[in-house]
Amino acid sequence: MAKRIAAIWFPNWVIECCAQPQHPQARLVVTQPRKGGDYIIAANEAAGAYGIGAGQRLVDGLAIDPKLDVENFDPIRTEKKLLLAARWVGRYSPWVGLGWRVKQHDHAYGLLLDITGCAHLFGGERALIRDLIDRFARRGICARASVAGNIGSAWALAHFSQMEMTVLPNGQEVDALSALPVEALRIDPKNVELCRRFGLRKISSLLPIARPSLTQRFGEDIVLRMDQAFGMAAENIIPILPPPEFHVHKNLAVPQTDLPSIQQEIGRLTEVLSAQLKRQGRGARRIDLCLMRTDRATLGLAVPMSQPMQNAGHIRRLLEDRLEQVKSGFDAAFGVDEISLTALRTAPVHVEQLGLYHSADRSSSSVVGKMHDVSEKTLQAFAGVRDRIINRLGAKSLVRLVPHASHIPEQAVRYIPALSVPEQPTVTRRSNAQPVFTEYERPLILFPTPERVEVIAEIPEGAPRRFRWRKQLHNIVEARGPERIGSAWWQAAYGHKTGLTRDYFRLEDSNGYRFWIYRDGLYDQDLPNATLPRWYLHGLFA
Amino acid sequence: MRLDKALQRPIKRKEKIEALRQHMARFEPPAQNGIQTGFKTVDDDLQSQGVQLSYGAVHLVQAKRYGDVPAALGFATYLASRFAVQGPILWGQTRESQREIGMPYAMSSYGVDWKRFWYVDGACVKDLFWALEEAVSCREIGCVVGVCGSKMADFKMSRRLTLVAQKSGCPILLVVPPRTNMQPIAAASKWYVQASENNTWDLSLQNQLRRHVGGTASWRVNADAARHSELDAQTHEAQIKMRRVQKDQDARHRDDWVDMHQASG
Repeated sequence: MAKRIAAIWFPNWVIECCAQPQHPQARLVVTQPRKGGDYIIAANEAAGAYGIGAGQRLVDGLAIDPKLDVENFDPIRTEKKLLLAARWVGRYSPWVGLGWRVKQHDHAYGLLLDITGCAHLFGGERALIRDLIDRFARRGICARASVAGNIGSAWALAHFSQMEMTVLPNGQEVDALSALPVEALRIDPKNVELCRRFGLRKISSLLPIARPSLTQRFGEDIVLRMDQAFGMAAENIIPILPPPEFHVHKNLAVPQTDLPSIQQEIGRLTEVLSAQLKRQGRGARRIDLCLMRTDRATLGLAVPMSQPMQNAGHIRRLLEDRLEQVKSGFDAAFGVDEISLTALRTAPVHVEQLGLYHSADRSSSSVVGKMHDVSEKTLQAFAGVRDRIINRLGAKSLVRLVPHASHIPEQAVRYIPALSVPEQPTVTRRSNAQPVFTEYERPLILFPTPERVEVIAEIPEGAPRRFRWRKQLHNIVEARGPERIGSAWWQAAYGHKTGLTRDYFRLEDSNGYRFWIYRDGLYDQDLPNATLPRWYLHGLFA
Repeated sequence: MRLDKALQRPIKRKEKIEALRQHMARFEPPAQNGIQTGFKTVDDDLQSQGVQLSYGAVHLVQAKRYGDVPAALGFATYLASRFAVQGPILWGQTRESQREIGMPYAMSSYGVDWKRFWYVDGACVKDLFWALEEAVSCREIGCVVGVCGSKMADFKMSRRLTLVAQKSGCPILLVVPPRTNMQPIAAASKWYVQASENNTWDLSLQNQLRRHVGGTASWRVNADAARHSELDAQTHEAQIKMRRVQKDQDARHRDDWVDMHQASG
C-alpha cells in the first residue's frame, strides 16, 4: 500500500497556548528576550489589527498600543501542549511524530501522521483532515493540514498552500510544489538566503538546474530535500510513542461520567487485550491506559509489570488500583467518550497447562501435585503480588538487597528497586562478593545514616568505655576491634570525595545490647591538628 | 447434633459444653502444620505441651524493652528463615521505623538467602498493612515479616491478617517495639524477646490459644546458634519435600472445611 502522510501546522500555536484574555478585543502578544531586548514572537488577531506582529520589538509594540497584554514565552508549556495534542491526534493514527522545524525559526509547531490504511475509517482522507481541523477549531486552535504521499510534500502544502486543507494524490508532487517558494522544501535558512540572491524564489526555478551544479553550489541539502519532497528519497516519521504491539480502543456511544461505569468499560477492553495477547503467546510488560474526555482533555496512566502478564483479571485490578489513586484528581467533566488500552512492551509467556495440575479434581491433584514442580506457578502468583505493591506504593517501594563487591559497609549492600533487578539476581561486579558477610561479622540492621554518639574511651586509640546514644548512657562490658576500614583511595584519583579511615568496634553493654560503632578518622593522620575524631553508631547486632 | 436442639433438651452440663465445643470447632479452621524453633530446650517444652508454631497464622514478636528491638528482629529473622523452607521472604517496614530501628542488612548470616529476600518500603502504617495483607494472601510466599515501629498494629489489622493467613497458609511475623498503651493483637503466639549478656536471648512465649495449658513460659537461648543456622543442601532438599506434602495436606483440610461450611449453609 502506498504511504500516505498527513501534516498538520498550527500557525498560531504560541498564542493559543497562552491563557486567552477575557475580553475578545484585548490585544495579547508573546515575547521572548533576544539580543537587544524583548521581541514579539506571536500576536493575537486583535493585536494584528493594530499592526503589531511577530518580529517587532516589544517597545515598538507598546508604542503603538500601551494597553498591550504581554506574556513571556514558555517553551516548556508550549512543547507539553503540543505533546498532548499529539497524543489526542493518536485517535486518527497510532504513528504520530512532531513536525519538522527550522532551527532558527523555532515557532512553527506542527505534527506529522502516518495515515496509511487509516483514512477509510473516517470516510476518506479529505473527511479525515476536515474532521481534524474542525475538532481543533472547536477548541479554538487554528490548524492547517494536508495529505500527500511523503513527508516533504505534505509539510510543504500544509505550510505554504493557499488553502486550509489540501489532499495531493501520489505522483503529482512536482506539479503541486513547483509554484511554492523554496522555503517549502525545508532547506537550510542560509541556502534560502542564497537562493534569493540568485533570484531562485520558487521551486519551479530550481527544477531546470542540473543536480551537480546545485550540489556544488548549495551542498547536498537542496538535492536531498527535493528528492524527499518528490518521493524519490525515503524519510520516516519518528513516532513520539513507540508503535504499540497490542492496542485496543473503544468509542463510547454515551460519554460516561462516573468511575464505576468507566471501570466496567476498561474491564471489557482488558479482556479483549488479554485475548489478543494470549493468541500471540505474549504477555504485557507495560500497559498504558488513555481516557479521552469529550472536551479532548486526556488522562494517561501507565502500569509497569514485573513479569509478562496476559491475565485479564490481574491487568484489570492493577488499572483499577491506579484509577482509585487518581480518583481525587480525576475529573470526568462532561464524560469520557474514548478509552484505549495499549501494551507498549511485551515479552513471550510460557503457556501453563492448567488442566493437568489444577485442583479442580482434588483426588488427582494430591497425586499429581506432589510430582509437579510448582516453581513456575510460584513465580506467577508472587509476580502478581509484586505488581500490586509496586502499582500502589510506587516503583521504589519494593526493593531487593543485592550484595555488592565493596568493603565499605554502606556500599556492600545495595537497595535496588525490584523492577530493575532480574528475577534471579547475581552479585554485581564480582561473583565472590557475598563472603563480605560471612568472613566478618556484620550487624543485622544498619542505619541509613550513621548516628552521632558521644564516646568516652580509656585511651585515644582504644575502644569506647562508655557512650551516649539517643540520650541513653551505655556502659561497655565487652569490646572487640578495631576493624579498620579505609576509604576507596582509588576514587580520589578521579576527583571523587572519599571518606576518612574508620575503626569499627563491636560493643556489648551491661544490658546485653550489641552495637557497631566506628571512629571516623585516625588520630593525627586524617584530621587537622587539635581536631578530635567523631564517633558514629552504624548498626545493631541482634 | 444441632446446637439449638442440644441446648433445648434438659441435659447435663458436661454434654452441653461438649455440644458448644463441637459447634465452635466448626468455625475454627483446621489446625495447620507448623515448625519447631530449633532451640532444643524450647522445642522440648513446647512439644510436651503439644504446641507448635503453625503456618497460616500471625505470630507476634515483641521486644521487652526499647533496646531489645534488634534482638526481637534477630529472632524474627531466624524464625522467618525456618518458616520459609521454600519461596520468597517479604519484609515490610514503615519509613518511620527505618529511621527509628534501621534497615535489614546482614540477613544472610541468619540463614536468609538474599536472592529470596524482598523488602517493602511502606510510607505509612496503612500502606504497610495493605502490602502485608496482599503478600500473606499469596500461597507461594514463604514468610512475611512486618516491622511496625512505634505506631502499632491494632486488633482489627491483626485479625484481618489472621483471617487472610488462615486462608492462604502463609505465616506472618509482626515485630513490634514495647509500648505502654499496648492494644490487643490477634496472634496465635506472642513471643517476648530480651537481649541478655554473652550473646543470649531471653525468650518468653504467651500462647493465646492454649493459655489454659501452659500460660507463659521462658527460656534463655544462645543467639549465636540462630546466627549460624544454614542447612546443608540435602537437609534443605528434604525439608522442601516435606513442606510440599504439608502444603497439600493443609490445603486439603482447608478445602474440606470450606466444603463443610458451604454444605451446612
